[in-house]
Amino acid sequence: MIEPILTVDNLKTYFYTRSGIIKAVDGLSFSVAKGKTLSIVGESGSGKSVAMMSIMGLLPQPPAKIEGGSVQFQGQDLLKLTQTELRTLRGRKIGMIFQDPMTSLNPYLKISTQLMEALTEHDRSVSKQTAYERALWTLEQVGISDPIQRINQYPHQFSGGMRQRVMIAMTLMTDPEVIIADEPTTALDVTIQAQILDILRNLQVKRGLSMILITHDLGIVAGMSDEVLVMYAGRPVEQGTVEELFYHPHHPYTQALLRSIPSVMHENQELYSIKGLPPDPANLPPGCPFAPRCERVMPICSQIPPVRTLSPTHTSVCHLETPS
Amino acid sequence: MNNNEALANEMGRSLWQDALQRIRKNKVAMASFWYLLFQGTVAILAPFLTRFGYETTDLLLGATAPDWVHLFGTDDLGRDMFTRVLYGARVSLMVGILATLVSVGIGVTYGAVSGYTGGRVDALMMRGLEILYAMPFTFFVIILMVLFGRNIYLMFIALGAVQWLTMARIVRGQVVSLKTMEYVTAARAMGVRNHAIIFRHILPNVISPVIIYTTLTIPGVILEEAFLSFLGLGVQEPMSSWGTLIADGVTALETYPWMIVYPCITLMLTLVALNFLGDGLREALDPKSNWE
Amino acid sequence: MLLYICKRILGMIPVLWVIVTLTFFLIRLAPGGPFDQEKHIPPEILENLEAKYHMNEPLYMQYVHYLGMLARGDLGPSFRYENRTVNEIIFETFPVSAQVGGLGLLYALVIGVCAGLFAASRPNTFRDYIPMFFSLIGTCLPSFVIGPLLMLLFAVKLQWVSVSGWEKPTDVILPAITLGTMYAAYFARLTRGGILDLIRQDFIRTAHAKGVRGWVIMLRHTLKGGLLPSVSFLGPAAAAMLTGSLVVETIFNIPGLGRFFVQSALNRDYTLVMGCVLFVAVLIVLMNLLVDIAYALLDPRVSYE
Repeated sequence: MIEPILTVDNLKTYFYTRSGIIKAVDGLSFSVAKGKTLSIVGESGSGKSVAMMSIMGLLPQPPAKIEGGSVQFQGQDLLKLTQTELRTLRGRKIGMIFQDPMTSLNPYLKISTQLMEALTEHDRSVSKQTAYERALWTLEQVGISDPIQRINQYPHQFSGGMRQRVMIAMTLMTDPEVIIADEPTTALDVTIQAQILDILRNLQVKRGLSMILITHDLGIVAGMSDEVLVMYAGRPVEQGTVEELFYHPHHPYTQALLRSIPSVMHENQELYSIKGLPPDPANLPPGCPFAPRCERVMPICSQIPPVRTLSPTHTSVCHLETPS
Repeated sequence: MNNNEALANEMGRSLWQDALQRIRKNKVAMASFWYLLFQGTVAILAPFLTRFGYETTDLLLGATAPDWVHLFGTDDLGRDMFTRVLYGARVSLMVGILATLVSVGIGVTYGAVSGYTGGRVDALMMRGLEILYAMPFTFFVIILMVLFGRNIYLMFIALGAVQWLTMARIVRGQVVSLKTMEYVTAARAMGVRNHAIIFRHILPNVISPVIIYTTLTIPGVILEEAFLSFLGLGVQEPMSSWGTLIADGVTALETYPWMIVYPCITLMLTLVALNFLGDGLREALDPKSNWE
Repeated sequence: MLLYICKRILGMIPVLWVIVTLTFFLIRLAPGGPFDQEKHIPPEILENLEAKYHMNEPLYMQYVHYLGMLARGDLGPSFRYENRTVNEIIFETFPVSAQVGGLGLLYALVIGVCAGLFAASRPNTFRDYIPMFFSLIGTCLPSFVIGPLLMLLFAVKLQWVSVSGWEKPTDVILPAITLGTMYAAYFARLTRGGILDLIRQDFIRTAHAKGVRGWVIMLRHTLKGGLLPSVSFLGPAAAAMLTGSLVVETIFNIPGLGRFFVQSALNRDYTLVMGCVLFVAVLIVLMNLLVDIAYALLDPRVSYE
């Protein structure tokens, strides 16, 4: 088995608000193997982004507070690092790509400035010239033509897809080990989506990067990842390899998600959708949070479900098959 | 269902009740409100609160430091400063409120007409507004006050005529968005109680910025009046406003500092309270500021 | 850009024309005239005077005549200060006001922007509350309150500077602070607000994710955009500092443009009043143009091409 590069164990991130404690992430564990891609899937509000921001130390505290768990990366627990130590890791070892390329680049600064600082902020011995050349090279890597001219432009002169390429180039300025891509294609046109995913996949293969891909699009999951983690209401629901998840889904929520993919094969079939709404995060039901919407709900579901190991790589958190 | 009930309650509560509840929780704004109410009451009741007349001089007494008879001391003519500050509040507050009303009247009318008519008229009126923004207005007020005599009614109008530009802009913006909302309402079935929508959603959208901006205009006008009075272009002796009192105090700064201290404190407290109240109203009436 | 500036300067002309026309008829509609106060002028001299200033002609002719003069860049002779033109008076007094106003503006900007940055760097902590408390006090401290207080402290008690007058170079300090304090308070609030608006933006999160140091984010990523509200306030502020100097010049007894203006209005010195108003209007319009140019320089998305 390939050694994991990043291991998250029992992560708990709570928000303390006027309307009560919101358990945005509650007991999340997973690990990313070197050179592999882990996809995290879930509806909006399921805590995927919050979990990633917790790892990166990017959450405003307060209102957020990391209540427990550990994040092991290269022999250190990221949650125990000071802000300064964490800052030197961010961008250098772990890069992050955000959802909306329209708002994620600073509109007041040239692309060159934003690219170069990703390198110079971590290594101040790097000369401006070196940083500039590196920036040109990364732009080329992500398929931006005429980088010499483009590098001196401002973000508003780029299209959405181009900006996302710039975002990716920014993470490549240093040599990161892990890239966290938080819904990198959600805000883009379908045709552009494919291009961006291609770039990501190529880079990963070429440079042996590990990647955490956050998405709610199961199509992307199937094409991009090695392992999958399904989240619901801040908790892990099911975890396994792509094959296991897609061909042998165990948890009713995973099964429902898979059924709600529009299929080309069955044209006339009515689109399946999960009944009900995601639960109010401040007011979670006791036991399994999915129970109120679950088609196979049982009385025992009001108790906390056990983690069931289905294979060395496949786990599911559900009461199914619990002897009653 | 407890949850649903709470939700229904929340929906049913009107924006005004909601705002009222929010501002009640804002201690600073409430303290400011009570202070202003107190200040206003004291100003209205001024004749009953003091034994002295604001113009009664006592040259034999001259300037005395504050004591139990003259709470704020007396000025160089032996006039009771407490009385003069009280009467000054009458003038300053009245000018502040009346001139602001003038500015609200002009601003709302101009903005509403411009926004409602739209098209060329709107463009022309907005261009006019731009020209007016380039006017050295303080100079104009001074010209008016100098040339047409120091008349308190003229002062209301002059000061009000200066302050309406921003109000007009705000109202126009709201009216323009209101117009597009009307289409939406009309497009939605005629059966919907239209007046309910207008009263609950559209009107507050115009009224709340007007209320907020009005509260923030009053301190500006009070300052402007004090400024004119300070230059000797505002109210005339023996009438006093906070501005004239401060101007008098400046001349006696080294010898009788109490002559400037009390009017300054009163003026500042009032301005601070008005600003706090305005900020509080903005937070309470503007639902967008919920997360602040 | 150059084309845009030219356009804007041409666009000034109708604005100034409206202002000139309004002022012209406003002051002539008012009762009283420039020669009222001289009690014992013999009729023939008065007639000569009126002829000299075209006062004997019908109003519209005077108006046409005045516009003609303006077109030549001449603001006309003063009615009250014999043998002096309005141009001369303005060129003599404006530098005084400009020194006070310029220094005041500089002081307001430096103090205000720094305080705003300081407050915004730790929002909702004491580092925020303390400067913002002073800023609130500052917005409620009109020049005629702070001026005398400063004078009392630094001139009377400590005797560091002279009480009033315009002789020594240090005489500019107290007036400038008096003038600038309220605007420093506004700039502090605007800067804080502008920066806090930006700090919530996604691109700041990106910068943090890149591992950029906190103060670099503050200065490189938020300052440019965070200054925009202050920049748009700069136009009105600069204009108000010139008019606000009326009070400051009175308190500190400084021979600036503002004092001449009040005096000229009291004297019914028609040409001088008009000249001052027009001069200040031109300044306001130019300041607004400068503000728009600064805007384009700070925000790459704004372009006047």
